[in-house]
Amino acid sequence: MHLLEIVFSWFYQYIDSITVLSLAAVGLVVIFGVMGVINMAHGEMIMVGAYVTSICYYKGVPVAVAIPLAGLVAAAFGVVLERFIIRRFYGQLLSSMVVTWGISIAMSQAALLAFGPQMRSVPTPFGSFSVGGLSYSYYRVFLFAMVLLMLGALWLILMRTRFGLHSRATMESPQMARALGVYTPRIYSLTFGLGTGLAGIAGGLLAQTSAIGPFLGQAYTPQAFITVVVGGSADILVGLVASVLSLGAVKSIFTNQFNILFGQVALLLAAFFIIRLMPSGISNWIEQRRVSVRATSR
Amino acid sequence: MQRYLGDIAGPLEMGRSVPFWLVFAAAVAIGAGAPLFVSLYQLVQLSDFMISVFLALGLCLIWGYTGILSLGQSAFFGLGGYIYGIVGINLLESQENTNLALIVGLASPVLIAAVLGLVMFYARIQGVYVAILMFVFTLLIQAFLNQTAGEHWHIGIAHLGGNNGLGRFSGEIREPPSIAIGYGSSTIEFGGQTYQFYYLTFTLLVLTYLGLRWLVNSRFGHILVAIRENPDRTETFGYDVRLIQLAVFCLSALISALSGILYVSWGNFITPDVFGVYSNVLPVIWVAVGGRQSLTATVISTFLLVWLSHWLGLHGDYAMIILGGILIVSMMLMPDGVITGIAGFFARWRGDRGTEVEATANPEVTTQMAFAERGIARDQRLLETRALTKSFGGVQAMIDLNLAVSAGELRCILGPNGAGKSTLFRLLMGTYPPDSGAIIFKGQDITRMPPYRRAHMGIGIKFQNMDVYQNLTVRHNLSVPLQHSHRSAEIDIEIARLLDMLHLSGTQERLVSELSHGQRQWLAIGMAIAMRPSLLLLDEPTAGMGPVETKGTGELIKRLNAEGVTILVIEHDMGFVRQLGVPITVLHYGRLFAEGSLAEITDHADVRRIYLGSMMEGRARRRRQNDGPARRTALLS
Repeated sequence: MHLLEIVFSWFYQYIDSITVLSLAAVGLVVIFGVMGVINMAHGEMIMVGAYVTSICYYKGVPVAVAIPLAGLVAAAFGVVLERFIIRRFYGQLLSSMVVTWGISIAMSQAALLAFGPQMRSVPTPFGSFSVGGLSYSYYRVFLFAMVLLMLGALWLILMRTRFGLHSRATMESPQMARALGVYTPRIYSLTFGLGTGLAGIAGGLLAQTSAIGPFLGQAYTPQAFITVVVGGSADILVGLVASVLSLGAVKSIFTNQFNILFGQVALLLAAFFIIRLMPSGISNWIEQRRVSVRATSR
Repeated sequence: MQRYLGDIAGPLEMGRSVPFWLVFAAAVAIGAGAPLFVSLYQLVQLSDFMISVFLALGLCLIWGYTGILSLGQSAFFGLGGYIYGIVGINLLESQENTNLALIVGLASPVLIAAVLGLVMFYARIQGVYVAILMFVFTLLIQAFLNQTAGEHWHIGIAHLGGNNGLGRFSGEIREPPSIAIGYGSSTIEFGGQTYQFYYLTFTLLVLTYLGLRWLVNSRFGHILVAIRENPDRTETFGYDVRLIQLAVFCLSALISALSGILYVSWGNFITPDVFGVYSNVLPVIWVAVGGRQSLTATVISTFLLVWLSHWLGLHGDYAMIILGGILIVSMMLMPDGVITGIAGFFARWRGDRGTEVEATANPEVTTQMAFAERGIARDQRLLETRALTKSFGGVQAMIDLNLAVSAGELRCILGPNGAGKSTLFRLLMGTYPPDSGAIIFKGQDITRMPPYRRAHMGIGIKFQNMDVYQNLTVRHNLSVPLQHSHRSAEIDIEIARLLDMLHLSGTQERLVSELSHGQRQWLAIGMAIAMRPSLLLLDEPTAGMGPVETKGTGELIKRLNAEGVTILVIEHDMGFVRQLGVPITVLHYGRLFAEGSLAEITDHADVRRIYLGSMMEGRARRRRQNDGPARRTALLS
């Protein structure tokens, strides 16, 4: 094989690792990164998105409609959960963790009872192309583009809309935001719904790449948490990008060289070392450097 | 009651009344007599239920009492079971007992927990991060074991068996043995389906329950709860929090491993599922629903819920939905646990406010605190900082501070907001390390010393925010700093004496959250004094106090100083500073700005300017935002 083809193969896998980690984490980055809420049922929101997409697809709804619909359903789920359960556990990290874990297992078990142990997965569209005898899927490239699109949209929503401004203000200081006329309960619900909605869209996109079942979410929740924690919360998007770039590299290299299990172990160890060195995540570390550089150059 | 049961019936666990212990005795009698009136099949089920209770108790200890939630507690259960099984399969034929398997099966998980704990707690990884890391840890073991199918995955003659695990389901003839203790002809076997095994499990369970009760009510247990409430504050009372967390983590791993060994011994098989999500979520449900802050509630709820899931398991797949639902509902309605809630209701109904042990102050004990000056004579240098510098991001909180304090001094530290006063105290206590510079205390460089060792050396602190344990009793609060230097018998006398001195007599069984603002402030000061420090750091001791209380505080500080304690006080209340009438150090923008007597300082033109001018200057600064540093140097020249 040509060197160039090997390099392309590695690059493709790297992009793929980045894509999967980003899709797993893109909703949680809002819920944990912005709101500071631990949602152990995050993976189940991805599962909901995948299920809605699959059901719609086999009812004849085009995928391009099914995936946004999946996002809406998951967002509605999120709003309901926030309103009736999660709201009571703000500021109690460990308790919110435990209660959302209860939601997680109840949801996956309910999916098992309602739809059986295996859901029909949606066929991967777009076909494939080959480089040097190895075949690659166009859809994976498309997924990467979708990740960029989702991150861009998230940035626009948080930084350029009135809702984003209110949301950031509420998370910074709910009392102050209330005093300035923001109706904070709605902001909490909507922000949570934004997070689960993104998870739903991610689930819809992922439904076309792999088998889906009631325990799909369990594979994504730990990865999502690791990615978000490593990223930190000073600037969630910078953090997420830095986190998936570094963790994705580790994961793809070790998966390539050994196997998937080694990839996961390496991912955990890498996350561990990063947290050890930068306890509040990469983005906080970057932020601190930037501030102190600015201060000393003055 | 208290007299006969001692620590086992202490205040940190429900069950201090005679009826409770009668019920307990009845429960033990029923348990011991169960083989007389239930079938062998039911007895085997009971053994299984009890095995789960161990796992729950281990989680209750670290989560409920120490505040460490692990979402991977079953990892130690599984490791114990697997390691016991592997060693047992290998050695059973040659040794005809499982002595070594038991020891290795118990010790290895503890060792693994020690390594994990060292890495996590010494990296000061806390809270949700520990929970998630443990969760990922257990899932990785499961993923690893799941792919160990095939002949080449074996340890000695034990095949790991992939999904099927160890035991008959993998088609192996060799299954993990039941416990067999002893040598040669005196070996006692505890086959999983026998009476012997039931009695073994039952006895171990009663002993573990009573042992843990004793532990959590001991002095050590009081410290555990203090760590749960506020680890950082507890460290400043002289406790190596990381070491204690590590020790408890290992103990809970030991209990979980015991549970796992009993499980393997009971069924003669184990699969990677014991590391899975459900195996880990179940103990959390049992403990959370029952009441994580009570061992008794945990035992009861585990029994009931395991029985429920067993029953549900016979009637379809609804178990996890129903258990998840029970968890959610109970967390919403009774966040401290259903059993704990019911017990609390009964306690109120009986009018039981706990057994009040009202120790009376012994007037013969003098107020002389006997602050041993540990080798430093009065007027010798006690504390010195050399070019101490600290910045937070872009804010320079402390710049080249050189401060010298002699033994026996009492000094006020003044300065406008943001002058670096509290930063100085936190640097002295070791809450965070300085960027550069050195701190010398009693002739020793303590710059890199952790806070608990500084506390041992004689530094006591009251932080600016009221750092008392809000959810604990006054007595418990005071016992935390006292437990270092005092024997149990002395603690009661000392607490009574301190309460008397702090005008808090009669409040010792009350929760701190029920005290008034001023009383809490007194308590916080009292906790710092209880350390018997040679250097006492008081950050705004009179904040929130009325004039009478403020005056009392001033008298107390002067009296302590007269007894030989070196004291630094941060204060804004100029009336209070005047009452103390002691030398003053003024900080400004993280630098030493002026030193002198009260009269010198109040006449100091520059000091007047920084206090009065800070408002006007603030306006000026906003106008010319970029020349802030220039402005600072101008002020200092």
